[in-house]
Amino acid sequence: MIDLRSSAGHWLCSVTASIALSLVFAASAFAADKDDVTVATKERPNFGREARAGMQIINRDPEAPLNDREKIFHALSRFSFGPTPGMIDAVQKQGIDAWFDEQLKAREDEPRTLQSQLDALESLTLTNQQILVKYNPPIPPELSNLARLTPEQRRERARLMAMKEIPRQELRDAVLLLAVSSPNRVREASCDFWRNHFNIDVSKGQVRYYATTYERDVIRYDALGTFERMLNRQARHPAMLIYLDNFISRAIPEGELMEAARKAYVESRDYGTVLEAIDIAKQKGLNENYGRELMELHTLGVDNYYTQDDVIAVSEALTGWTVQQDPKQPIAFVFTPAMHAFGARTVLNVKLPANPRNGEAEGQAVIDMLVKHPGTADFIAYKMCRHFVNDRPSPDMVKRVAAAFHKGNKTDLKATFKAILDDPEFNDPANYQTKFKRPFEFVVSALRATGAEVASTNGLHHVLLTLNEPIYQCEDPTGYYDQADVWRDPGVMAARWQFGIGLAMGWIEGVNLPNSTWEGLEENNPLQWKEVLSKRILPMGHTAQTDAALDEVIGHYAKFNPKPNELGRYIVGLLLGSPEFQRQ
Amino acid sequence: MERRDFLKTTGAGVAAFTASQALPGFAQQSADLGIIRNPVLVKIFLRGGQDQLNTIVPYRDKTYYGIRPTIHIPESESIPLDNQWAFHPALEPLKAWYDKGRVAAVVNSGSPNGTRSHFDAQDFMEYAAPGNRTIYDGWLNRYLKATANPRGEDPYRIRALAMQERLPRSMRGKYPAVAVPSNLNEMDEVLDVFEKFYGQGEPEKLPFTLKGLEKKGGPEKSKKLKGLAGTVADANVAEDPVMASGKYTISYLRRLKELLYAKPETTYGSSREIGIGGEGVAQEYPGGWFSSRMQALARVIKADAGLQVAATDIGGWDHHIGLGGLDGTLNRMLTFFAASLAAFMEDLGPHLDRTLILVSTEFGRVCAENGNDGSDHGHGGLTWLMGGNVRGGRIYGRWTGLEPSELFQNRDLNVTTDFRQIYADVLRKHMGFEPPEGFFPDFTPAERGLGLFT
Repeated sequence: MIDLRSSAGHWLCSVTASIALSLVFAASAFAADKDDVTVATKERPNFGREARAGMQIINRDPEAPLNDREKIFHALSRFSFGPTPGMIDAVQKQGIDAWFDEQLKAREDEPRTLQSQLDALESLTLTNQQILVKYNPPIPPELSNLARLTPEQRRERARLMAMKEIPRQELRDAVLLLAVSSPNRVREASCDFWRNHFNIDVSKGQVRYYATTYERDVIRYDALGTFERMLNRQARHPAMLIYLDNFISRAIPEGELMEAARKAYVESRDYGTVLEAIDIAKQKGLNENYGRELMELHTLGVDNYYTQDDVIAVSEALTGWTVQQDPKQPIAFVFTPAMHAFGARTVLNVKLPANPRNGEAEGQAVIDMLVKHPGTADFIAYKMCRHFVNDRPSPDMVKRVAAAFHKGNKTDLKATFKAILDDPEFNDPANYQTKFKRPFEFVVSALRATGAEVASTNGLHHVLLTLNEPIYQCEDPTGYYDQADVWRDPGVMAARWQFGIGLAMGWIEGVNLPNSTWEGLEENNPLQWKEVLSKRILPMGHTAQTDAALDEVIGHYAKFNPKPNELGRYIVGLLLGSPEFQRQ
Repeated sequence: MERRDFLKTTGAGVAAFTASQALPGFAQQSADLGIIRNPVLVKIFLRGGQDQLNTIVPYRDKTYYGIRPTIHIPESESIPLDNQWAFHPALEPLKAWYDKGRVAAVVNSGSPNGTRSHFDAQDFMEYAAPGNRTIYDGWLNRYLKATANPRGEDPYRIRALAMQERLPRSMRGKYPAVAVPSNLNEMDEVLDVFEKFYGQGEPEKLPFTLKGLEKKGGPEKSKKLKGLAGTVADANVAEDPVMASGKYTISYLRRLKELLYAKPETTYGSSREIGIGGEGVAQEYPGGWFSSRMQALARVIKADAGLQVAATDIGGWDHHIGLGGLDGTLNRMLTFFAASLAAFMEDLGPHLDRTLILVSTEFGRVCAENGNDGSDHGHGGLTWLMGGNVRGGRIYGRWTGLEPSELFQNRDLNVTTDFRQIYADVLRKHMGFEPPEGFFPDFTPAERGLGLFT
């Protein structure tokens, strides 16, 4: 039986010391940073340095270049949803460059536990049609009037309705499980980025039945492939065609135009009015939603290079790109000439010829042009740097990454990732631990840092919903925001803290800390637990304030004579909620 | 595991620690730092397509009874308003307010866009931009942003609040509006413990007043505290943004919780003491989740915490099946809707003058009933306005009858009043905000307005 009073006494000394220290540090850090901030903001549009004022890790000079371990931690933070216990050592042994090169090949099989979890999700390997047939059973007419059902009929109806939920449930399970446990870390990080870039929402119409193949055959298929192919594949995928309405976008048949013209003539007897009526009629069939987002969100960026006329021209070029309606055929992309507005047009000041024999080629010409457009390289590089490097990436770095992306019009994503990692600015201390984790990143990194065992995912999906980032449910085609400002809402911030505590205490359904968490924790020595656990969760250290806060909490708990897997759990929860763990 | 259970247990786990650590009552630290008495807009969205015809019934129109043979409201049961319109009997609690001139409705209002998709129609209405896909900020968010303090918002002021777990789209966007976490009531311990990590939230800076507290805090103390309130923007310059949001979270949620959940008798004395001059009237609410929300919201409004925009949704109006006449789902929902809002208005007392309740739905329902005691997605529908300086006691909107030839696509009510005109009038006449050009994309509201306000 240990003397708790002595440990509490020790705790008190330590608190006093840390508080004193933190005051000294805080004061000097603030004074030193003040001048720096002015210089930094003038010379480069990079606020990393400024953002870290008042947030000094014990024994780390914020100006010092990253050492090898820090570089590894930094790379794993950005390209791996953070390290798992022991991962930094392993990568250090291998060397970060060798690790990254191996990652870019993404050849590793999923480990057995993960694979068996994935195998249990039966919809993952099916085709669109198989999913639709299996999970969208027709509701028999006798079950349609809810008010007049017997209890048995109600149950049957509920069962059929529940079937419809399965594909999207299994999809989000797969996304989460792979993000947490797949050994192909960079591929998963890339999937997360592109899933948001080419956003679809399973809440819209039939999208839920086709999102599974979208994730598999578009996002995952090319996460380490080429942008060109991913762009082409998403443009032809039923989920995207439905989500952004292109499947209904069509040229108005001539008969309807004639009728509109005739009507306008009868009413007005005015040539101008007739032309106007024809224009209006034309617009009725055209849906600009996809044409616009293809430029605004997928390639060039908002208001870059294109005008409203371009939006209309691109939308027209893509009319007839729709989803197979014949129930005997697979549910897939089909080009329907009857819906297509054939003709020559000008897009982004380039004249594109008509192709009366092959209308699909008219839309293809637009996509090809967008792939090669330097504006696309700039926009994609900017977004990737924003995601993987800094909320406000430096224009110089964006330029270099864009060049790697654009090289030989290959839009090669491996080369682009490599360019980001190898860029001299990537390891700038101003980028180190300065990005606020999005909720998804936060949850996944917490599961990884704790080595948590995920037996089922419902609890985690609840958490993601509470944190406003449920998987594949972003309603806006923009995808979830990448920058910190959007995620600092008080409700979301508090929910992060609660998740950290809940995860550690074992209150999240289906999620448990492994027994190895308590290995090496000495009985009745809570301060030693703090040392061990903080090194695991925050391997690169923490601030004096965090240290003092931990000491204070531990001091109070010490009175209750806790066991490692009692107070130790709580310490883990606090570490997950600490300011340090909110960043990557 | 149910979400609620998760949250409950999360709170319980830290109770042992914080019992000895309870901070001095937040309320005791707040003081009279000046009253913020601004107009308040309470936006309620009825999701699913609320039925107009059975809610405000054209009771003298024989066609109505003909096209809704099984689900009409019998004339003997409806509550006549004039010689054209009658309330559904479930709206009885609103009748007195209607008679007092505090309740108005616009029939045949809605979006000119003919979509019958909930997804699109709700989006269009919440962006206040039908058919436009270039807008990603909700219309209330745009208002909040346009009227925000350019130096950064006072962190101790609650300007915008969604009385539900997630922000409705109308409030989503660049302005950081806040949704009330469902477990706010159980969050004390977490806030207390993480305060140690993120720093003091300095709740004494709150610029709102609770009359009952003045006696305790005393005027001396309040004077000292004047002018201390900083802004988020200020804080960010000197401070790490993660730390700043942690602090902001702690102080904001503590204050919010106190406003929303504190029991009047334990914290403020009687609820009569809340608000200006103790004029707020303690009121019986009918109970239920919507009622609790409105009750909590009334408390925030009465506390003069600077609230300008609040929003909440009521889902479940998509009555394809069992909409019913006197006894269907619509009856049940209108019952709690009307009773809760009547209690809310009563509760607000004099604050009702500066509080406008605006109720919309994405579209109305088909005029004729279907085979399932319900009705399908339609077009024109109801918009309600209550409180504020609404010129109530009358039904607005051009009614075009129920003859098929007069209906939208021969089946739905026409939209004769664009909802954007109503929203524009609300911003102008109630909020005192002139929507700049482009605020409503592709739409210029008529200067003259609809005459909805005195």
